[in-house]
Amino acid sequence: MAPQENTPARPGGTAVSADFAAEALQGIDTARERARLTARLTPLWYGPVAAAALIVPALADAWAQGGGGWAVLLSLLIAPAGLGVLLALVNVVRRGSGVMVTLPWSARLRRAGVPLLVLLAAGGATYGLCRQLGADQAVGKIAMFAVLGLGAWVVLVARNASIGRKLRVAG
Amino acid sequence: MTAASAPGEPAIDAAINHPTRLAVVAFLSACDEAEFATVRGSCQVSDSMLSKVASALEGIGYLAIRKGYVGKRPRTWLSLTPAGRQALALHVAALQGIAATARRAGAAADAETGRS
Repeated sequence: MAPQENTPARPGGTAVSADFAAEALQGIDTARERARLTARLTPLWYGPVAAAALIVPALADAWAQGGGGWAVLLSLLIAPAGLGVLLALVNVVRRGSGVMVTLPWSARLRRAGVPLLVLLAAGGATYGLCRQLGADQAVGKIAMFAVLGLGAWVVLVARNASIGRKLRVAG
Repeated sequence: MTAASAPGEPAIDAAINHPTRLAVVAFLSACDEAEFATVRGSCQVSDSMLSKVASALEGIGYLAIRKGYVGKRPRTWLSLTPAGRQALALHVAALQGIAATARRAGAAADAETGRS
């Protein structure tokens, strides 16, 4: 535990030895690193919600193909609604970690770019494989969005685990 | 709050010199704002200690405290003010100066020992 406020850690107020200075600088770096890592944590519930928001519209779309006009209308509404839920939750997720950090879009894309590309490639490959195996378009889309949704969930869990390890090392 | 020095020059700031205060200010310097409980956990201090530190730093204009709700739960958010950020920057510069001076002195002493 850090020294408490009433502990006379540095007698003399502003008198600081070289050892104290080096220790303080290291402490500052550690605290900043902890803040950055904590800001990147994602709440546990976001993975399943993101997966559902991707998979449910694909299921609704497949279901609507056999239905009438209102079913098609519903399927058309569900896809943007799913996207809207994901975007609306981004702000909640940012606050969920307890640390708010505003990153420029370039930094966010750099951070999310590789997993996003891998997920999109996996989704595309799944769709192509399903079509090759003779599945119809609806089944291919469901399989693709299932891979995207579950993949996003796995990526978030793996990222949280990695951040947790780094926080333990930094602590 | 600072040791005798011209404004804007690196100086050890007595208000954030204590390790607990320094940890809180350093943590907040890396983010826009942070929730009270997160800061408490990350800086490993008690509720009452963080309250005391936050109030003291708010009193001198280094820290802003915002109270709000997430759903029905009350939440307190802490953030560093521009004055707090500047104070930390000057404090860090002063610490780096002390550490660099000590390193130079150490290197000079080593060289002296090598020559004799």
